[in-house]
This record gives sequence, C-alpha cells and structure tokens, in this order.
Amino acid sequence: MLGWPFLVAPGRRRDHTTIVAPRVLVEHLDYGVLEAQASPGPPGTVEASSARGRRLFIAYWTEPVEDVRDEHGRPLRIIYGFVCFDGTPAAVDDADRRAALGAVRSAYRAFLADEDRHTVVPSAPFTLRSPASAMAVAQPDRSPRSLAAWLIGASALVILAVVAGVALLVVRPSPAVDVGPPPRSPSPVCAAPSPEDSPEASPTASPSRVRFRRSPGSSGSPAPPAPSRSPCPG
Amino acid sequence: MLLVIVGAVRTWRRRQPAPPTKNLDEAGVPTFNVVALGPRGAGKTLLLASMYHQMQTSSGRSYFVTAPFEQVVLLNQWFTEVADTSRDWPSGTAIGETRDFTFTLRTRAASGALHTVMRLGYLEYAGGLLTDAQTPGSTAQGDLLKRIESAHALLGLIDGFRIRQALDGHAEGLMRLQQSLTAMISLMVLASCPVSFVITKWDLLRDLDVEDDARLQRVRKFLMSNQGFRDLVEAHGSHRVVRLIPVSAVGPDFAEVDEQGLVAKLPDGELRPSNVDVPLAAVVPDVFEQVERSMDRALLRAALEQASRQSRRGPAAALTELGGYLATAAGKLLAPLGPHASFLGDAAAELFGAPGEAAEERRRRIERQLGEAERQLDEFQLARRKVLRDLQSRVDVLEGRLPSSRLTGED
Repeated sequence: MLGWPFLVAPGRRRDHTTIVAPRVLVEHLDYGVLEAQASPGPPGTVEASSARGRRLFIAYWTEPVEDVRDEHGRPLRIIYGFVCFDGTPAAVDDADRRAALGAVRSAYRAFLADEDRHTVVPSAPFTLRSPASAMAVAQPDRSPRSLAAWLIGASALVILAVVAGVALLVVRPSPAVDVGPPPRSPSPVCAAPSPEDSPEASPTASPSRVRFRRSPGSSGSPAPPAPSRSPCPG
Repeated sequence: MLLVIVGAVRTWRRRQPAPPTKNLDEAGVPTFNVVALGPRGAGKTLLLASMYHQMQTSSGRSYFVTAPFEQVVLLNQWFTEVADTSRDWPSGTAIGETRDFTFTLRTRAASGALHTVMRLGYLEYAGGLLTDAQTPGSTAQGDLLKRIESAHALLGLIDGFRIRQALDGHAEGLMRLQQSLTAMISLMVLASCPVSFVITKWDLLRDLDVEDDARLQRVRKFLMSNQGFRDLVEAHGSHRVVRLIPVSAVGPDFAEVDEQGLVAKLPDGELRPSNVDVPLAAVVPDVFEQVERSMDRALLRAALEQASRQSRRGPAAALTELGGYLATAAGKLLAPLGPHASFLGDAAAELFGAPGEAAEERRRRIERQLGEAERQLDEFQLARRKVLRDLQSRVDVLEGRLPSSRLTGED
C-alpha cells in the first residue's frame, strides 16, 4: 500500500492552506478535501471522498511549530499525514507518520520563507509500513459482466420505484410528499499512483531546518479507520 | 403485482407509528442565525468564548444562555486558555474546525419554571475563507457564502489591533484593515439583514481618548474615511440598522502591544470583558427595528390595533395573528420564521415603536394598545416579553452611553 504525504498549515500572515498534497490530487485540482477533513487536535483517521469523487483514506497528526508565531502573536501548528487511495491500513505504523513529516518539512520551510508566492507542492508516494486492512477501500469492478449486472439491477429498481409510486398515489392521494435525501453519486473510481511521480515532496527529502516540537499526544498511531472522523488517543 | 404492492404499502402504513407530538414550548422557539465576518486574527473565536462566558449566567438580566454540553466544554477550554496568562493565545481556527454553535436563550418565569425563548446560531470558521482564494476542490467558501445569505444578522468584526497599527502609521496594518473591510463590505452590501460592525480588541485603543464615546467617535471618523465603509453606511443607514460596537473579550488590563509589535498578555493581567454580550443582544431588536422601518406605518398600526380588538378571542391568538401578518408582510427577513408567529407577535408588541420614542414611552403605548390582551397573557408569554424588553434595554443602554455607536451616514 502507498501513502502520499500532505501538509495543511498556517503561516505568519496566511491562514491555514494546503502546502503539500498528493500529486494526483494536485494535478486534478482536487485537494480541498484535505483542509476540510484533517482538523487540528488528536491524531485521527478518516475515510472521505474528494470533490471529484475519489475515495481516500487520510491519517493525520498535529504538531506545534517551535519558535514561530503568527502576526497576532499566536502559536502555529501544522496538520500533516498521509493519504491512501489503494486501501485502508488496519493500524497506522509510527514510521509512516515520521516518513510523512520528513517529506513535508522542507516545503513548510519554503512556505514560511515566502508565503505570498506559495504554490501547492505535489507529493510522491512512499510504501507504507502500516498493514493493510482486510476491508480495503473497494475498487469498483468495471468489467463488462458486472456493468451489465449493475444495469439490470438499476433498471429493476427504477421499475419497482415507479410501481411503488403509483401504488402510493392509489392508496393515499395526499398532496404532502416527503422529500428524501438527494441520490448518492455512483461509486467513485480510486486513483492509482503514477509511477513517474516526481519527488518534490518525498520522504527522502533533505532534512529541514524548521524545528518541530512533539506535542504530548502526537506520537501515537491513529487507530484503524472508522466510517467517519475518529480522533484517536495518542 | 400492482395489487400486491398496494396491499403491502397499506399494511406498512398501518404499522407506522404515529408521528411524535412536538413539545409545544420547543416548537414555538425560533432560531436567529448570526454570522460573524472577520479576517484571520480579528478575534472571532475569543469573542465567541467570552460572549458565552458572560451570558451563561443571568447577571442582572432576565435571561441566560445555554449550549450543548460538548460546545460548553470547548468554549470553556478556549476561555481558560485565554485567561491563563502563563499560556499562549489559542491558535487560529483551521478550516476543518468550522462549527455551528447554538445558544439557547432561557428565562425563569415568576413560578420558577424555566422557559426557552429562542435560539441563536453562531458560525465559527477560519477567517481566511473570507480573504483568501478558495482551495481547488473545497466547498468551504461556497458553504460560508450560503450561510451569510441566509443570516438574520451579520457581525462585521474589525480588528482593533489593525486600527491601532493604522493610526500609528503602520502601512501593513492599514493595508490589512482595508483588505478586511473590502472583503466584508462586498458581502454586506448584498445582505438584507441588520449589520453590526464590532470593533474587537477595544482595549488596545484605550489611549486614544480617556472618554469612551470620544474614542469611538475618533475611530468612527477614521473608518468613515474608507470609501467602501462610508458608502455602505450611507446606503443602508437610513433604512437599516447599522451599528458600531466596541468590544473587548479580555478587558482593559489584560494585554498590550509588546516591543515586537505583537499583542502579549500581561503577567498579572486581569480579565474583565466589556460589551461582549451586546452584539448578540442586539440581533432581535435590530431585526424588528428594520422590519418596522420597512413596513407601511399605517398598515402596521392597523395590524396592532386589530390584535388589540381581537383580545376577546384570546390574547395569544391575537398576537399569533399579528405575527403571522408580519411574517408575510416583512418579506425575506421574517418569512423563514413564519411557523413561530406567536414569538413574532410578542416581539412586535414589545419592540415596535415610533421614531424617537423613548423605551418607556414605547412600552406604555404598546401596553395601552394591547390593553386587556396584555394582562391575559400566560406566564410563558410574559416571561418571553420580559426577555425581549431586556434585549432592547441592552441596546438602549449602549446607545445612551455611546451615541456614536449608531451609524447613520451623517458624518
């Protein structure tokens, strides 16, 4: 399984912004999900969908930034971690956290040096040490047979819905109609990593001069993912 | 097959439990949504925490606010972090921390029973959403704009630290102040609800003048020199409520600008928040003042008189009818509150007044108009009316003490 480092952080003047994001999300201008899902606080994991429908798993941590304050005198903290597109780890290995942190340090240092000219740095994947879960993120089966089965099933559902609607009208021709939630979009397609990814922000990047102080609860590994956001004890 | 389905649906319907009966007291409680606009660092979170801290007990008022327990924990945590002079200020709010806070205004009636009067929704979000370009694939900015559009009141937070910097000739501070005003005004120009500009960190401006209103006057003059700000006040000041409320979430003896130009806590700083409850207290009186201004006076008087004449049908029914009329006649601002006609009727009876009419005169006139109806109101309604009166009174006190807090475009 591959992990793609990311970093969301504020600067001295700029508010929280995405500084490093998986290359595939940067290329498709689809990385807003990281800011929305990775929130400061205890380490956490979350499964989410991007605006373009990519299913992804995010493991994130928060670290205070040493000796740097924003222009209002407030301490800064960074939210970093990794994204998986090809599965869900059963547990998160701390080595993966360290690798993700190492991969984003230089990008954060560059951001702090020149906040106005910042552009999102695309990250390259690294191989996770975290074990894959048996319940991996499902890849939609797009074989012709399954497509045909899906079409038949969907058609049957539509017919059933029409018949049920007629039946409801016959039973009680009331003007009141319950409006249910909007239909969900079809199963998204998971993106596969590109082998030619350039390592602009990779775990092997040179060590950063930006120092990070470990927060008391930051060293732990996030628990296995829950269907929704699940802050995990350190 | 059709018959089978019809039969199944009939059976299913019969087995469905009856819809739950709503608690009538809770069902009649409207929610007024407030959105505080303000750039990063303007003090939105501190104001929220301090506001709650100030309003969670009655302190001489007829009401107090409560919030869901997990929100109370968070608000207290923020407030404690601020109050502790040995700790840093809390970090800025991240986009992933956007949250809705719901404050419930409660009152204790003469019998000792607790009643819920209304709710105030307050959105907490990262200030950069207002000033920075939207991140690709993010919906946060769009969501915020929708919330602004449907708000019952907008608070425009002006950072007192930036005003301090601008008055001291700090170019960066002036630029940031102008940037934030431009961002807020472009949204406020489109809004149809009341607007209050809230000057945060008022304590950092204490040396401008010893006298509070003179200080506010100076800041007001400075803000009116901004073309956008002046245009907004001139355009809306005549038919809408536009306020300028100075607040300090920490008070005058807690922090100061240090030699590096950063706001630092004083080691022996004492927390004494000032005016932090006013922005929320003003929401309902301002909504009703705007409604009153927008409506035909003759029609409004007729509606009030009709409510008075109908007292034989019961005062509650008369006021509910008045509220229903207002929800229809006042358009967008009150239309979503139509189901809470009883509240609207009470609020109209309590808050509407002739221009220039003093609070006491207004009360006497309304009571005369409603006559017997007023005396027959049940305990809940009387308690609610008292809360509305208190909210109006808080606004009246502010205007009495700081006449410059009402922006009219006449500067």
